[in-house]
Amino acid sequence: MTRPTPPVVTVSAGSRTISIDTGELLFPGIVLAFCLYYYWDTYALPDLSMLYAGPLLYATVGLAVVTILGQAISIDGDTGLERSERPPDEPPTESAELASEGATPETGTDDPAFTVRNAALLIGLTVVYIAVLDVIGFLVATIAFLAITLYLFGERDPTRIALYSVGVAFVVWIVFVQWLRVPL
Amino acid sequence: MGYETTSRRDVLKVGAVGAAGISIYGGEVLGVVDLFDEQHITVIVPWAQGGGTDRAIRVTTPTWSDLQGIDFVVENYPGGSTQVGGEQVYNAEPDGTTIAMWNLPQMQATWLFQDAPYRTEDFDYIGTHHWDPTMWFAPPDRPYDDLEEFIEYAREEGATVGITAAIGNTALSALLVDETYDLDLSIVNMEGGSGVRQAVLAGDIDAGVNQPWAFDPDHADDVTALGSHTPDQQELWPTAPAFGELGLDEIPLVEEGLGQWKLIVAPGGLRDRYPDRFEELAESYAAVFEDDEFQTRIEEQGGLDEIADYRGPEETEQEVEENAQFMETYADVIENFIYDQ
Amino acid sequence: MIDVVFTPASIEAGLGILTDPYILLAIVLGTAIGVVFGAIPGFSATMTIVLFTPVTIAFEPTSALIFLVSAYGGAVYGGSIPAILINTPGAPGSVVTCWDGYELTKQGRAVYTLAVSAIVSGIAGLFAAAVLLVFAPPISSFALNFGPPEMFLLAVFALTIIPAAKGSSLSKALLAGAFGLLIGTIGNDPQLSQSRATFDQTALLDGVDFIVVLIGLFVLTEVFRLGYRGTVVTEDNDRTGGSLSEVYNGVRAVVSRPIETIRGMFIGAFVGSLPGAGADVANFVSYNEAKRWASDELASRFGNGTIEGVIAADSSNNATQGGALIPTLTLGIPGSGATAALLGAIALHGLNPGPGLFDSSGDIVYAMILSLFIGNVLILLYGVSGSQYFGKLAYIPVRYIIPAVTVLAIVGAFAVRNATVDLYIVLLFGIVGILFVAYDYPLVSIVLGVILGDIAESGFVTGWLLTGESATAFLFNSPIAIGLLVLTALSLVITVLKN
Repeated sequence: MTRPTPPVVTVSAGSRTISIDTGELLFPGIVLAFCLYYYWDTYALPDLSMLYAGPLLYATVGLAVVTILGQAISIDGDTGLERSERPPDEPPTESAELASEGATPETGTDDPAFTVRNAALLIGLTVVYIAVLDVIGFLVATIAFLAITLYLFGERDPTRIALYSVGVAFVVWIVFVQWLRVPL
Repeated sequence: MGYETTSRRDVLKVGAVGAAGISIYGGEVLGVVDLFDEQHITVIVPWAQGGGTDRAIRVTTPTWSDLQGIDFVVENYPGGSTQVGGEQVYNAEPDGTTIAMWNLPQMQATWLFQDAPYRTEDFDYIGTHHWDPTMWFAPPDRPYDDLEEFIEYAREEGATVGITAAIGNTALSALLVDETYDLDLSIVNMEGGSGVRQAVLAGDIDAGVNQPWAFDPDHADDVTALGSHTPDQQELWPTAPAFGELGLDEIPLVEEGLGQWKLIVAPGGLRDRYPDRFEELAESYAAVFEDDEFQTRIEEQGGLDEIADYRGPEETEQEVEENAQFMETYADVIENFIYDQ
Repeated sequence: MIDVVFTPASIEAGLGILTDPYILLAIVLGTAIGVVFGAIPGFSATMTIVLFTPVTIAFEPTSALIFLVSAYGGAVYGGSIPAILINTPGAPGSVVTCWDGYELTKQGRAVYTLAVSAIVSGIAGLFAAAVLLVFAPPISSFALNFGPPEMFLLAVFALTIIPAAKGSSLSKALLAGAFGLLIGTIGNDPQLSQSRATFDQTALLDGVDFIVVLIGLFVLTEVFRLGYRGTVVTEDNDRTGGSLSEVYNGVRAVVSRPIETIRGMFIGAFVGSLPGAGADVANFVSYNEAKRWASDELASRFGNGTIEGVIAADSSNNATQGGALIPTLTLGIPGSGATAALLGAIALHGLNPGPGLFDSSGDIVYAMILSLFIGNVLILLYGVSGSQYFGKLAYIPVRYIIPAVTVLAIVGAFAVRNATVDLYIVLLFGIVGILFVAYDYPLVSIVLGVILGDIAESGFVTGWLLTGESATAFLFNSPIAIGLLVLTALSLVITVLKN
């Protein structure tokens, strides 16, 4: 099991090399983008509305910058200040992190269905599912999503795919739409 | 693909059927509505569960449901000073299956001071529920017993006043007192009735503005009621003098009385498109207030019967317009408060 | 003092609630559902509570919360079942259970091990419930002294202690926490009701609902990860067969090792009460302690299938529940994902989580605490009599779990308040969660940030206005405020020293 590791970009400036771990930029980048929108949306508000949110916004930006400097950027091959020492291709999880002290319960599987590609496809399918939910109706969208996802993860028996997707969709529909009256 | 065994499949089936059975059966016995009952009326409450508006509607729907012969399902859409729930009603089909319990003057405030897309005429009005006057409370150990004395105190010492929302009747009352007597009060939004109550009980603020029913008359002995923003004494909280009685008539809106109406609203167009459905709803709602069981139930709700005040559709609409007018009149008072900050 | 603290009227009212047959049914169903979902590989207690919270919207608050708290206990125990049978912990809290539990299964002692796990879990849960009942009321009456500045400082303290407890990078943990707090400010501001960063979505005027965030971070993230991780199920045979005498042997094994069980329970209850540390930390601490206290001969057998290892793990992880509920119910500060989810449910059902909770809803809170006693007896009964059958769930292939759970997460997120924007929020946080796991940000920091957002903002703003807009008056408002400042400074210093 390998997860895709975003590249480490190396820039040479004179005698010094700066390497940037682009993966470490992802979350601080999202935070900074959100902060920018937040600032744009709120700069005209009365001071009292931003009494707390204003300083918090600046603190968040500051922390994002510190994290980028400390985690993502290293100069002269120095691995940064607080860099974690995990080999990049082991999916670090809360449990794996702790489990490394003992045996390895996070045993992966050799099943070819479980790959990064399929996980990415799952995310893609979820995006599509959410987008069409309103358009084509709950039952149709859900049955289709369940069937495709089940196929993606290795089920090939059409009867089982049909029973599973119709069954699960129906149960969810009964519970949420009929019983809880969720306007899906 | 042979990594499936019969036993596994059986487990799955049994599991799925079992889970469905358990959840559906469980739901029914846990006191939730019947399955496959398509017929129901959704009541939107633009406040969280457990608040005053929520309690008021939940004490009403059982009786109304009996009279109307249909289930009522209360859905809470809190937030945006009632704008979130307001837009839900505004966007709902005007077919009689969606109504709301809302309050004045919060309703008008959402378009006067926020960007709500609707106005008075975008709704049909089924009837009022009760009118809870605006009332000032203070911790018991303070050197003032009514609003007149409080004004004197605040002029000398300065004072903090807690309100329930930035743009409702409590804010307006506090601002009008502040402006009339040129007090420079420090007005703090305690975000809801329970916030004001806690702050008064804990002595964190010098006075709190709320409504007596929302404040909960059970606490009558724990606080000093400084006065109500009305010309005459109200019935719910007998120890509280009216501003009118205290001779504080200079404060605007004392004569008219400043308080909070709760009312039943339907999406606009119901009355035109389905006059029969509108009439039926309006009539069964009126009949709720004649019902003995309902009267007993609201009596147990902190004396809600004392302030229950049913008005028919026309009168309700009139109230809404009057509230809209005075809110517009004093809009600059609130706007100055917001933008001077 | 005691009689002030233990408001007998509330306890009596709580007991009264428990005599209601519907409530008893909620406990029976909740515990069963917890065990069943906990037993499914890849399904943690947090996911169980988070996914069932939207389902309880239609229940009245008391039965809903009792149902969820029962499911919590059931799921913590249930997590040990796949750990023992297929070496896949159902939750991070059961990682250590694998080490000796799975070894024993390979030796053909699956039923024996499952029985021991159930008994120890039930007993530890009962102990933890007692701890909660004793410690929560005095802490809650102390917490009533917290004014707005203290609430703000408490939130800051809770966020700074996480990197200290988890040993994660200080800047990453604080960034996650600050981002969470900032997410928490989306919507109308508390003083003037001006909208902030709502992306023109009306539903967001009320802010981002943190149950939706929790579903994204804990459920969607987990299914997306299952998508590339899978589990080992296919290689394994069903090993749940075994005779009743093995159950009896299990009872004897526990009875003859009281010290081991008690030690684990104490460790679990203590670790559980720390913010940011839950069952996932407790079972490691307990296992290491058990090994340290053992004779050299016994210590050498740890990891090769010794029942003491299972006892150490399962006594501690089930005892965390009671400990973790202490700060959750008394201060409104959840110590773990599962209690954060429970806090979300408490807020969803119209109760005000925070220091006033015992005061305003004492009967419901006591009923919840007391229901834990019944729930844990049920865990004992279910586990001893039926863990073989629950064990079958561990063999569900993961491909059947992924699609259904994704749908449940999406539908559940929408059901919280019927807002379309929540569909996108849940997805967004599902993806952010992957980044968190991949780059080692503590998930609980962002969750805590979002949850504490309102408390922190209200506390700061009202505190500031009421203390006359002066920083010194605000920060040194009371001895409690000063104490919290000191604690915050301490946890920062500890983290810096650790790094």
